[in-house]
Amino acid sequence: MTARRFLVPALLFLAALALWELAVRAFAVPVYILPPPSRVFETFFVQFPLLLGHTGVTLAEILLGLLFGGAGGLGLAILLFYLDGLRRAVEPFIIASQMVPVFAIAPLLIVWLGYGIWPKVVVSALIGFFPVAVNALDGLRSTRSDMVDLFRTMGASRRQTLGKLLLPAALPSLFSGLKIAATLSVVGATIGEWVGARRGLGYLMLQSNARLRVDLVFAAILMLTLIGLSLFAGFRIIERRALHWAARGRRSA
Amino acid sequence: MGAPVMLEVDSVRKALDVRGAWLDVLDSVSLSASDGDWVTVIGPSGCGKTTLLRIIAGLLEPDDGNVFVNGECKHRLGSAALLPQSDTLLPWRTAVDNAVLASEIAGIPRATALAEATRLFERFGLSGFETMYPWQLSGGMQQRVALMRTFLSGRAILLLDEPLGALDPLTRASMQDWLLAVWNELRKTIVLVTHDVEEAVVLSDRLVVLTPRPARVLSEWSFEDLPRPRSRGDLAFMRRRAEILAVLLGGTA
Ligand SMILES: Nc1ncnc2c1ncn2[C@@H]1O[C@H](COP(=O)(O)OP(=O)(O)OP(=O)(O)O)[C@@H](O)[C@H]1O
Ligand SMILES: [Mg+2]
Repeated sequence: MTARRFLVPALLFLAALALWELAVRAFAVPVYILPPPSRVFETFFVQFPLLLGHTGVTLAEILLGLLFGGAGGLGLAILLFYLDGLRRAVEPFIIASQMVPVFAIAPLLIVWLGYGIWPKVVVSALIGFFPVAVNALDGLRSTRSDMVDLFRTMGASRRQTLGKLLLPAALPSLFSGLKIAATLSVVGATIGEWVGARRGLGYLMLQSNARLRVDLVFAAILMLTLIGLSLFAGFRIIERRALHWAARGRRSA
Repeated sequence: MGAPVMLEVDSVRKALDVRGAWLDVLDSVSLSASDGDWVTVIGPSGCGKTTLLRIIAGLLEPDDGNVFVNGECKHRLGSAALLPQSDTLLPWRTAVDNAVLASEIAGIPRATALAEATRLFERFGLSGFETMYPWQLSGGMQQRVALMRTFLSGRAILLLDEPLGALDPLTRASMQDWLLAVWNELRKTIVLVTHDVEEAVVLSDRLVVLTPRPARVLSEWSFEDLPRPRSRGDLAFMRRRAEILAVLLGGTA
């Protein structure tokens, strides 16, 4: 079953690569305009040490961004859950903040925070923050009120109700938010590096682009994709573990 | 007789805000229970039985009238254990972890709570199912876990809102006999809400029949002349059941 689930997308992916390869060869596209996938993979392996050197910084930015964005999003969701007046007051601003292109403030962050790792972490965190906050708040607010009442009759403190009822109930929503944040944080770190950096995969892309090393640009994109996919898959695995109780309907598994 | 009064509901009136309009739910309801009593409340659907239990539990305050639980009026929330009408097991907890929830919230050491729960699992016919999740249990078993959670709450008064309502007639009849046996052993004060006249006569010491909404007490019955265990085919039993049904259907005492 799982093998079949991956088979069709894998075939589709291979077909697209084949088409790309054939088109590039048939039209004799120069390698500095669009390299064939075979060249991209070749560069990926030949330049692997170089790529790996830049991956470390970018990965650190992504993970820190995810950590701060995720923790901040969950923290804000809990705060707004308890302070309903505050929620009503700031919800429009939180939504409006999403209309501000984060890329536009990235140069400012460089001015404020310098060329190091932190402006990228902040961009990454800002992008990941929103889906986590919105999903976690949704999850907290959708907890059944009869369950909350039951906890009240048991004499549960606010903290006990949060830890034993609200957070576990919000966990599926929280994971939805985290999975979105994981993919967005890759974008955030890359953008942050485009604006100004001395290292990282985004920096490597800019440098290679300027030198017409389009194959290296694609190799960096491939690396970023792999990071994004691994993060997503990682959250999926943690989610499956944490939500194994929600196995209803997967009895045969 | 002569047992201390555990529960006193005196001329309780309550209107609920239903989408902006005030709906009179309880007009004037009184009932009382001494230590170890089993009082059943019966009434037409939507007449306010759940509202009455929520008021007794302390989740709602009456507009008029008084409620004393174990001598407490203002601070009665937490004095009685409530088994809500809806399915309220926590899906992320195993059967045994659901059963000890109230003890856990009360801060009772886990080993003590588990020891007591394990003993009751046998009595509740759930041995071997301790580590199953709710979705792995049948409806009847889930309901028994919820009942066990209520019995294990350490409270002297149990408020049971149609605990057997969702079960098929056969399971229901055997659960009634079993519930009676458990009550005989553990001697709690019980307020049971049901739709089923036969269930009321099999189980309780006294029965309070409510009118359609807004609820008033239509009539009160005592079954102390019917010795337990009561046989459903017994002539006196059937006559009493028919009398109560006539009152319920006729709407007059
Ligand atoms: N949270 C609520 N929101 C809106 N209406 C409510 C709410 N709770 C109760 N009601 C109304 O109050 C009335 C009494 O409800 P209640 O649940 O106490 O009845 P009940 O006797 O327990 O009914 P049932 O036998 O169907 O369980 C109902 O007519 C219902 O419409
Ligand atoms: Mg009800």
